[in-house]
Amino acid sequence: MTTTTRERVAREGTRVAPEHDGGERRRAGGGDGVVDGLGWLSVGLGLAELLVPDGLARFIGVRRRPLLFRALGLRELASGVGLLSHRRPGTALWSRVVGDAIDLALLGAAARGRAPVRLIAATAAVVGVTTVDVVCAVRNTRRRPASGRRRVVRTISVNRTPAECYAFWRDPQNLACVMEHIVDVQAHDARRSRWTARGPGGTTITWEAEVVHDEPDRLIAWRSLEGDLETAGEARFEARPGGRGTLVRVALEYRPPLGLLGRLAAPLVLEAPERQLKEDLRRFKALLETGEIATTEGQPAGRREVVHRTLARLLTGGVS
Amino acid sequence: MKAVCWFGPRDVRVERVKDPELLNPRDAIVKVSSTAICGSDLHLYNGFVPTMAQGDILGHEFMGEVVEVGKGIEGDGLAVGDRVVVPFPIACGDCFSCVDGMFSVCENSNPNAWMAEKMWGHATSGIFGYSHLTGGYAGGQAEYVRVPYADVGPVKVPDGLPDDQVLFLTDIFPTGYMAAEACELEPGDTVAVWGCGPVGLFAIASAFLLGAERVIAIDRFPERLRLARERCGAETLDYEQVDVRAALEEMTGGLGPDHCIDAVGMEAHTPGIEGRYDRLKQALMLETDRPGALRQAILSCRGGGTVSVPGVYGGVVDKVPLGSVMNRSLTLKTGQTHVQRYVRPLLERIQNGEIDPSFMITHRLALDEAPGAYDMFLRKQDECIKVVLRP
Ligand SMILES: NC(=O)c1ccc[n+]([C@@H]2O[C@H](COP(=O)([O-])OP(=O)(O)OC[C@H]3O[C@@H](n4cnc5c(N)ncnc54)[C@H](O)[C@@H]3O)[C@@H](O)[C@H]2O)c1
Ligand SMILES: [Zn+2]
Ligand SMILES: [Zn+2]
Repeated sequence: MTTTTRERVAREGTRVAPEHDGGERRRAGGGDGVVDGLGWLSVGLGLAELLVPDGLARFIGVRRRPLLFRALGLRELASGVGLLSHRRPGTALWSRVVGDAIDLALLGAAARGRAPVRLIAATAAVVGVTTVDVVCAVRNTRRRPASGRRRVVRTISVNRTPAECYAFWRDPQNLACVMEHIVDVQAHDARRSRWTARGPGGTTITWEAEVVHDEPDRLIAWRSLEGDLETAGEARFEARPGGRGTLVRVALEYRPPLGLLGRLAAPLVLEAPERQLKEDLRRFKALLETGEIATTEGQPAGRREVVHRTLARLLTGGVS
Repeated sequence: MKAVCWFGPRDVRVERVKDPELLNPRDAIVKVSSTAICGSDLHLYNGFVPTMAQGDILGHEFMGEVVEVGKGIEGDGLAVGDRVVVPFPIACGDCFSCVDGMFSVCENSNPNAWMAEKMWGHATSGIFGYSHLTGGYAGGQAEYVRVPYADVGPVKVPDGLPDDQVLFLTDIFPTGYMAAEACELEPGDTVAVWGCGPVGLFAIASAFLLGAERVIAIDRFPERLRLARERCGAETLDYEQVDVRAALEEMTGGLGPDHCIDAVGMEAHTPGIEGRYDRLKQALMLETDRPGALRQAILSCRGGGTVSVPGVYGGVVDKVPLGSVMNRSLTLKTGQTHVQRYVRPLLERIQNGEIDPSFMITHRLALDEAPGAYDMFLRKQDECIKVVLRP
């Protein structure tokens, strides 16, 4: 360990090459394609189990058990949504592995006594998929960075001028509104501020930050000074051609600290940082363009059974 | 309040749920006076649109009285007591797409944008009562509904016009109109329309409003074909009686219709082997939609013509003759309707007496009767064409 994030950003200033974006994401997501593939497989199979349980049972040659198939379908669908959301691919993948085990056990039970060709084929398919699932799950779980530097870059188009975007970003209160894990920002002065973020299990982590580079209407860069999290970043604002608003480009670097609390706290802020930044930027855009952030939280709905409540929560974005 | 909730394929129920509340500054609450069941709702009813959850409130065609407005839009043109129609796409009015008039691809109104991006590459706007892919918003087949960005969507309607005449400004009239507009009609043009449901009927009527010379309408239900003929002025083909492509060629001197409109969508009914093939693939999740009408529309269209697709498709389809589109210079146009664009001009046409949209209403029922109404509309029983529910 030679340089800290802070030193690096201080030395290199705010030069963040946009081409880092794709590369970083590909590396961080690790086998995204496979995960997505498994996600779609889950969604497809889940829907089939939910909607045409009898047909599916007939197709693979087991006894009809619509309720059981529907329950399996729901589990499958939940894994699929989890995988596609990229929120916690590790968790969703392990849930697939558990599901595979159940599927295998059931196929085994169904096979007792007779083993028609289709059933053997179905079992072989599940065994194959299980292997892929385990490999992916292990890989994605390992990939969750408990330490080490993470760097993410993302852009978004905002239908406002660079000056408006800059001014909005410059006010830490606005950032606290759009950043999912930030609970509070106290500005000491124009350069220094204190950040508080959600940690696991109701804990919070805090750090001091300072603006290190400030070019009105064009660029802001910051870094943390001391606290539970080492982080640095920058936001650039460029006019899009043809009067089409502003391209906002944000680069972030994190290094989880060495302390025990820091290590424990790290997962929340560092959980899928690409997705996190993307969603944060989406909210930034919405708040700036429309003055509010679209939501359905708190709206009415008919009674849902327990499993469906979980599914609904998954679908409305409460996955983490 | 009471609301029509989705519980699973072919299972909708009228439930007691809590009343909606203002959640955002630009919200309004509307007390629903009339709401309709749409062909699009049938795709949900049949379980073909993924990401529906048990208990979701249905309905995207509704109108009523504003009973509450959020702080963000007080004094902004919309007030308590206003009688409004509400476009089905939820759109912010501020993003690039909205400013460009593409309201149904609003960049800010879909809280589940990530989900839609997985499915479609990029997200769409939110839509009332239309699955979590399009935001998971509670719909308007209810006594009350929360309307986001209420300074953008809802349009006041004059007291003189009854609900039945203006309700369809929320969706199907603009949808049929946009489908016809996409054909960029020129004098002498012949348009063929697949599907004589409400969307198809409005597409026929709109094609004539926009200057079509002839419209040929295709369906199999006699009552729908009769409306197309008698109320909209179309010539009609029953696809169970004639070979549609041969008939169209015959009627157009071998060239094919200048423009073809697919007002059927993802659950096309196709007789014969082709239909069974699509059903099988759909059941095995190898395709999500059955594009029978679309295939026929493409193959029938005159070289250089337009294939306009108001019919809803959800995912991926099989064996769509893209080669025919490319090699014969066809233009493919489609989209969830940008209703906000059309409400005012079409309201004007209604006021001028150019069209009375209420002609297609066959059933006026209470909200409580929704479950039976869905079933009847699905099976096209009792000559059902359009159901309006009054909460
Ligand atoms: N683009 C939009 O924004 C938008 C808005 C509303 C509705 N829609 C879609 O428009 C479509 C029609 O809606 P609707 O309310 O009229 O529904 P509907 O179910 O009442 O009408 C569909 C009609 O198509 C006919 N049909 C089925 N297969 C056919 C075939 N192979 N050839 C010819 N006709 C066939 C049926 O007999 C029926 O009359 C649906 O897919 C709906 O989702 C789209
Ligand atoms: Zn509709
Ligand atoms: Zn918008």
